[in-house]
Amino acid sequence: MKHWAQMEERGIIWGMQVLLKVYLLFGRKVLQIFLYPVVSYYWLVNSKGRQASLEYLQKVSAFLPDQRIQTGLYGSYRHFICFANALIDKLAAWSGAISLQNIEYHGREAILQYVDQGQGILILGSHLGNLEVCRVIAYLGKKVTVNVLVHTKHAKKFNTLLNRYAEAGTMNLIQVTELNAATAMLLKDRIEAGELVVIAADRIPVTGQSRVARAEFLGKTALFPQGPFILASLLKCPVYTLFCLKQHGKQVIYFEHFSDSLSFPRKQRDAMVHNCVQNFADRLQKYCLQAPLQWFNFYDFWRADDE
Amino acid sequence: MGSLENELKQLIIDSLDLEDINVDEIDSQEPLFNEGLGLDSIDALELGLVIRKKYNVRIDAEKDDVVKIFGSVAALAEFIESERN
Repeated sequence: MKHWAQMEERGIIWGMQVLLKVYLLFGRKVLQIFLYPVVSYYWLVNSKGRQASLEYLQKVSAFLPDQRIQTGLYGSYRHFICFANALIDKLAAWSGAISLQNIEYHGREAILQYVDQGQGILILGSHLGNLEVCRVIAYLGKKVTVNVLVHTKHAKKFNTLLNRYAEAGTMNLIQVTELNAATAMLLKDRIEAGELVVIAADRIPVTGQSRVARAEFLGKTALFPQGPFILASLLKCPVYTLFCLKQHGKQVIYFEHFSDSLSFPRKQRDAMVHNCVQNFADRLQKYCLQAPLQWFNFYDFWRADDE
Repeated sequence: MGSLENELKQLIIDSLDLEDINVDEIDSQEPLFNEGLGLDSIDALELGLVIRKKYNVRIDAEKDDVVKIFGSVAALAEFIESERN
């Protein structure tokens, strides 16, 4: 099974740019005409992604018996179409076409309060829903810089693309492949400057299998990264989770307090990190059950058990 | 130099919660990580941030030999001295 990082980023920059142009010129309906065949083709040829989707739907439907979630091939196809729509929302978010009226916030006050005080915050995100919409949190009403940690080698190009359509450089993508002294210091500086740092906490590191923790997710053990939580303990700042789901036609953004400050005394470190990871997995599951088709980890998320 | 080394030892003990070790027990030449004091990569990050704050020295992971700098208390002290001058 390929690592997710090898499967990502097939939609390279120019492709995104073309789609973005189409979106800006002709709008959502026309873009869907472009995108649905592409996603259908992708669904047909990408057997691993399809397999992952089928397995996920099986698991999630067991948790939501009342909702009668479609499993099987048709369910999986709908899952991919949902992904296509999320891509469009992603483009919309980038181009600034998602207006503030289309966004519903939960728990924003606490974040704003910290921003006012000049206190930096670490925000744990995921690949459930649409993390890109967090671009709009740069417009929380205050000017605040949002730093998003990404694995992509294309971070610089994405930055150019983003900032071409954004008002100011309020969003900054930082490429991180591993947590090392340089990244820790860089992020510490950002936090001390009162900025927000967003990191996805649902994908294991690109390099090596070290620093992962097992946690129960949708009834089965999966591997989660320890890095984001260890980073939080180094940054010594408040930690929040962020989930952005599309619900009733709106982007709904949920901020939730995770910890005032994480600290892992060395003797209990492993147990405490594990607790944190499970805590995050529980929260991820909670939101996942609210928007089951917006789960966009199209790889074998539970491969820990295969070993 | 000796006092900086002792200061660093105390700093390592305090910042990394090494309650059951005192300053005299840390050998300046002894490796800090893995075999020696048994610190790990997370400790290194923590220590890096603490040292930067206290001594206002920047460790540039791309330019500096991080492994060597964090090799021992003596090496760390030497690095801080050289950065200060």
